[in-house]
Amino acid sequence: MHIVEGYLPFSHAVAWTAISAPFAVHSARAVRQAVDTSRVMRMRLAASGAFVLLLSSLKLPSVAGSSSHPTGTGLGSVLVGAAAMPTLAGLVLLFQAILLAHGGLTTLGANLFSLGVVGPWMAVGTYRLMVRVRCSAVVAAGCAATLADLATYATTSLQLALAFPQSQGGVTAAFLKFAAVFAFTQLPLAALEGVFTSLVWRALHGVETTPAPRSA
Amino acid sequence: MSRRRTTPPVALGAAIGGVAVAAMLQQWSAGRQGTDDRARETVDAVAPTYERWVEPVRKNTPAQERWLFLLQGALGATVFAVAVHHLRRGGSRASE
Repeated sequence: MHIVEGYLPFSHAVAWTAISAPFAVHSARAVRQAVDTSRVMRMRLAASGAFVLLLSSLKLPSVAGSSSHPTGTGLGSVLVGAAAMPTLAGLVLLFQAILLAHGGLTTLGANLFSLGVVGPWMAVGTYRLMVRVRCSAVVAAGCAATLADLATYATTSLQLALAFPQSQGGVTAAFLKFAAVFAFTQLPLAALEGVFTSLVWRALHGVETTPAPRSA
Repeated sequence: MSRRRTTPPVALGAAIGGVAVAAMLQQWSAGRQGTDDRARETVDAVAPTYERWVEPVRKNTPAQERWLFLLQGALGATVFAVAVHHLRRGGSRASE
């Protein structure tokens, strides 16, 4: 989901940065509030951020000779709340942009929006909906992680399609083209991320897995 | 055993485990093209006249990139393991 440095036109890079900025500011406040709340919340934040750092470092082989990485935002989203995730995802994206030349500083806003905003809110929405219809929390956490992963990559496809619409078919055709690039590789990896997140959630079950309050 | 005494082995084990898993996956996915690169190639195909207007802040050799990804995996695994270790062993007691 990392849009490569310089691969968004200047105006789009500025626009996505502006769109992501309020989420980043709100997130920084949410993280600060969470840090002040309790030691448990601090540990949850550390675990959530580290989970994103760990999973996004794993280049997994997938179908058709391709490889990609999971996003890891699903677990943190249900553990500390979606509002905290832009800060955690932003730190990981900065680490990768500066040290690994993976992603970029000019595409940070766009990447933050897909990884730190859309993915986590998709995870929280999925988790709450599934728990409301009396699904097991372990299954709900897994589905939340899977859908967060897919939503992140769908958003990246849309961002690229908006920047590079096709001469015939426009944004829709471009979106389908970019989505096809990601879909075949990401579908099995997203399912795998869901299973892995479920296992981690289960391992934590009964310890500190009460989802974050709605306001977080 | 106290948390203070068990944390270093947990951290060390997680770091080694993180590096081992990341290295194994790197080996396994060697030669496979990443989706980020595929997306970049698609941009080149869709908009052949588009010129990248900024270069990455640094360019790594493939070997450097491999090591940096291993470092990322080790960091992530270590912090995750230590945080989960603290949550499991005493988080509920330490709640303020």
